[in-house]
Amino acid sequence: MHLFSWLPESISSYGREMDSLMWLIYYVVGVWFLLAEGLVFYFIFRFRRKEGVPAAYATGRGLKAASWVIVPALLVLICDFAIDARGEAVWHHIKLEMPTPDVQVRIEARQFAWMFRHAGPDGQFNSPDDVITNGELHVPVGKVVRFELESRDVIHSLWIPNLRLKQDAVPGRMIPGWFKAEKVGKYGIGCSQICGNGHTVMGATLVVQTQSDYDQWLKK
Amino acid sequence: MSTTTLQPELLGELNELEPSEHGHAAPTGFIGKYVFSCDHKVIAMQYLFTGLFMAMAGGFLAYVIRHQLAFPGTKMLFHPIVNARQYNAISTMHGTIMIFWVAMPILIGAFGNFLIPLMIGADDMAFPRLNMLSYWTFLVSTIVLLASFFVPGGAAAGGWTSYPTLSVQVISSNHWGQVFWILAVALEFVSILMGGINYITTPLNMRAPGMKLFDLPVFVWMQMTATGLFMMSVGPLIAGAVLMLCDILFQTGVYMPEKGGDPLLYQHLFWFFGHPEVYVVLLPTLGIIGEVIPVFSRKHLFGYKPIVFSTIAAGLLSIVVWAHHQFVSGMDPRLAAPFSITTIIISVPFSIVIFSMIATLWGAALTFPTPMLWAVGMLAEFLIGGTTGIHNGSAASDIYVHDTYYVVGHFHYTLFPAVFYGMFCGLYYWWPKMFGRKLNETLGKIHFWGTTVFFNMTFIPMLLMGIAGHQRRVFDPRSFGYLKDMGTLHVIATYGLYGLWIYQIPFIINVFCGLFGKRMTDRNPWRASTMEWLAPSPPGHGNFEVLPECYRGPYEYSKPGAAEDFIPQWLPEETAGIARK
Amino acid sequence: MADKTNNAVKLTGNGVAWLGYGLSIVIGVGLVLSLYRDTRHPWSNAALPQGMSTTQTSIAGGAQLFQQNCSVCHGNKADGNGIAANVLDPKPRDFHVGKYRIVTSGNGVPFRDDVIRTIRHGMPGTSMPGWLHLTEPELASLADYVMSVSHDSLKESLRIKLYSKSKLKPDVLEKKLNKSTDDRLKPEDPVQPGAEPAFTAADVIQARAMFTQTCAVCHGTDGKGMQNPEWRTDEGLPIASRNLRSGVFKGGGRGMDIYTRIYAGIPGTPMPAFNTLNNADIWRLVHFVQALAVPDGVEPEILKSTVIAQPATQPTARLSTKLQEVP
Repeated sequence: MHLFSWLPESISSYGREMDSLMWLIYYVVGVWFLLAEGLVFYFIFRFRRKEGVPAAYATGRGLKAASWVIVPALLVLICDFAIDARGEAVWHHIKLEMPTPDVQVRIEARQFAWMFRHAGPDGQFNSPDDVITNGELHVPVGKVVRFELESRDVIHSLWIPNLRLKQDAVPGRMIPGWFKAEKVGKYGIGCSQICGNGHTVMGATLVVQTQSDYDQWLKK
Repeated sequence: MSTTTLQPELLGELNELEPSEHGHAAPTGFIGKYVFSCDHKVIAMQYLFTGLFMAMAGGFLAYVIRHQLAFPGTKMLFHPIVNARQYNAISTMHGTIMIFWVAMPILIGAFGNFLIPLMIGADDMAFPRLNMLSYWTFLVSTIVLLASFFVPGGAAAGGWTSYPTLSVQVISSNHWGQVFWILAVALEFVSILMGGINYITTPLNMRAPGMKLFDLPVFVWMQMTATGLFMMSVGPLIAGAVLMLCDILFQTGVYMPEKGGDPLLYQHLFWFFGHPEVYVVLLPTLGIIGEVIPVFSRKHLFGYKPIVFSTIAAGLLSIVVWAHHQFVSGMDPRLAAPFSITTIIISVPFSIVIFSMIATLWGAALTFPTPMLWAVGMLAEFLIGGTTGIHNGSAASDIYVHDTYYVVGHFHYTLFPAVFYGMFCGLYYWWPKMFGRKLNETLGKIHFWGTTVFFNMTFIPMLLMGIAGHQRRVFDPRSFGYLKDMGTLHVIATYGLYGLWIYQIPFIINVFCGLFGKRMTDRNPWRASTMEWLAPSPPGHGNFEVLPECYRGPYEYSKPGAAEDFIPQWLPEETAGIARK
Repeated sequence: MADKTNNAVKLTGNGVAWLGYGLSIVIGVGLVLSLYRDTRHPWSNAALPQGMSTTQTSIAGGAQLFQQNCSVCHGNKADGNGIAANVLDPKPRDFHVGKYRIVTSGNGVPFRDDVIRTIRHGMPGTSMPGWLHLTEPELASLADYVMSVSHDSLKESLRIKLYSKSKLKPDVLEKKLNKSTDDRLKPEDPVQPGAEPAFTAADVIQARAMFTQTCAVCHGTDGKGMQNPEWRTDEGLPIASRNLRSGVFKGGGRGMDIYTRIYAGIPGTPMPAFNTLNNADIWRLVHFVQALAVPDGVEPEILKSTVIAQPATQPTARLSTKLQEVP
């Protein structure tokens, strides 16, 4: 059993990329971690004090000696750049690109509930075909959903673990974002930024439906 | 120069004076000696015991939090059932207390104060009265903070970061708690700033004759870097906190969007300070284990200069990483890339420091008395904290782990070793110098093993919960459908905390026993080479009988050809029986 | 030789010490575990007391769920006074007053399904979220619990109001009390919207006239809602009339929902029940109200006297309510 066996199922189009990034970091730092811990414990057991055996006199002065720590540090740097490069690509895909949306939702956070304004077929907010719900976000499967995140009062944070999606909702700002859910089902939504006494009940449900179910639901 | 009117705080060349010429006479009477004292050692003890008291308070709050999470809404010992308001206040105060009222006073206030003058062979700090004012300001801040539990509406409940607009939301009736929080934090910063002047001035000006900057023990370097970092970064936060105070009391609206303000401004101000702050907490501990590891390895600290320079580099880098706390805060996503890069690059200087510490263990003659256990334990545990940090530092994976229990686990894995392992390591190591008595080794080892086992038992479940998507600061996780399975992990973590608490009992006993009983005669029980071990245990007024001179660097252990396996800094060449170089 | 014995002594010494540390850890673990005596784990759904009727079981389970999920806002005593209530607007419901806003009966008393539906889907425009992740039995027990709170509260007030001076035997009194409480809490006259009719040009004119005559008194001629310091809920809290332009409706924005709100009113608020209007009139108003929701900065065309509606092709789909300017 390891850390990432706890990761909830990914249902978003970019979830796989993010998971692979997490795994990459997991493996890279895992190797370094095991190496360092291994050395610590090896040294602890290997270099116990023995009568008549003095400790080595190694100050690490001079480039040659210091390279014992500087070279590994440079290797760390290389790993860093690898992680950065991969991470930046994923970040760019998730937060900086905006694919053409199929569906629009405006998400309004308030203490302590999420209100979802589904734009309906005309793709326009505040029109008669809006469907407004509290605590249930309905999206069609396999479609790019563009959301506009707003907050009425304090900072909230939209947190959908299965979608690998988190975005703070800041009062006074409209923050756009997108996701594409790829599996039908019901998933949890939470608020991950402390927003007051009711932070603990600020949940909602994401309902991913097939297109026909979704259309049906919009009309109902 | 007349020595009779000498003001110690005006003179840099004090160390040339004979002890009898120390700026003022030794105080007499209990109050002069132990309460209103300018002596750096007494002030250090005051910081230490205030910090330990606050650590108990913070630990108690942790117990309340953990009980509530594992057994929501059930009765607990020593505390009534909490509601969500109290829970938020308690978790806020737990964070605030542990960072500002435990880590800072103990690691910087207590160890810095006690050790800097002793390690550089000085008789006191450069500005003793400022030092005293620093402690008393700190005490006032402590009282203000504790008082905030009793104001109408209870203590601040906006998280230890106190993000607006929640924290300026006067309607939520937490506004007096928040006001007290701001005042207490501001006072505490003023206190550490005043102390910080000493921690930088004293090593720069009052080193023993012959002691060059690179003859300073690495602990002193770390203290200087830490306080320098603190001084550079604290301004924006104090400004931000004062603006928040104005928002709460005068409705100025700096952070209120409806009045044209922006809540993100505070986050930037806070984290511009907040990130250097974690290094302010970490560096003194790296200094402490940097002192302890060579002594019990009987080895020169490996790569002294690389450690010093990488610490300074890490400190400077830490000023340009703050926005990695805000990747998903709604700031421009284009900013994430530079901050992500600087954040991850900071692993390089720290890996140099950690690798050097590990390299010091190579070829050593290791013994494991309690201080060494804590030092190596700190190294081993901190590695977990450091490596889990990469998931948070990379912007894309931070989208997932941000504000989950993964972050909570991560920073406890950095801060708990940094604060508590470092503190215990320092206390077990320098206790003989501080009080002239040794702490009990058996109790110390029980303390160490118990703490280590239960510390991991408490925080590994948190990493797992974070990966499972458990967000932070939730009062009752059962309200969320996707957290239904977290019960077992919460219970394990809570048992871990109970155990952690139980295993502090040997330490508490040890401390009380260590304050009384037979004094030891040995001034240098660990056979260490740094300057503080020349002074009597405990050092009297003016520290040294004769102010020492320094002849070499601080880590001359097992030098080939030397008579003993260590050559103290204060020993002249001819006595040491070995030619320099 | 001497060295060897020395080492051996050291090793045994170490062994004893390690044994000691190990033992101390085991004792510590034991101590920790012994702290936990409560066999009922709050994370698992607690076993309910046996020997109760289904309703009672349901109420008890609902009470537990209520404490877990609802009490933060609605208060431990379900009196709408939870610790999170002070920042909320509108305030959480006080179930002791027992005025349920979203009802489908003509007499202002909720059906059990009304309460369940409100819990499941929440009330848009307020802080009441939907609890879609709860199971149907859980939702039902929550409804049973809050309704039992209202029931008991009403019963007590009736005891004081009607029977405080009665000399009836306790059991007879209790029976009478229960009966009169039950009578008062019996929902009647359920709403029957029927099939959704088309919205024709003639309907627009009629609806506009009705709206200006009746609804506009509170909701304003522009439908933007109004503030009036004298308006109070039954709980005594100030209330403003709904801004019909936002498209947000507490009870849902479907045609049927709005129909129900007009027919049944919103108990506990100044919004009266227009159950005397005929079915066609209500539907006209429903369509009119729905057409008021427009994008920001645009005036709803339906308010202009020149606008008539195009006959809907699919009478049941409100989405096809298209508006057309008269040339």
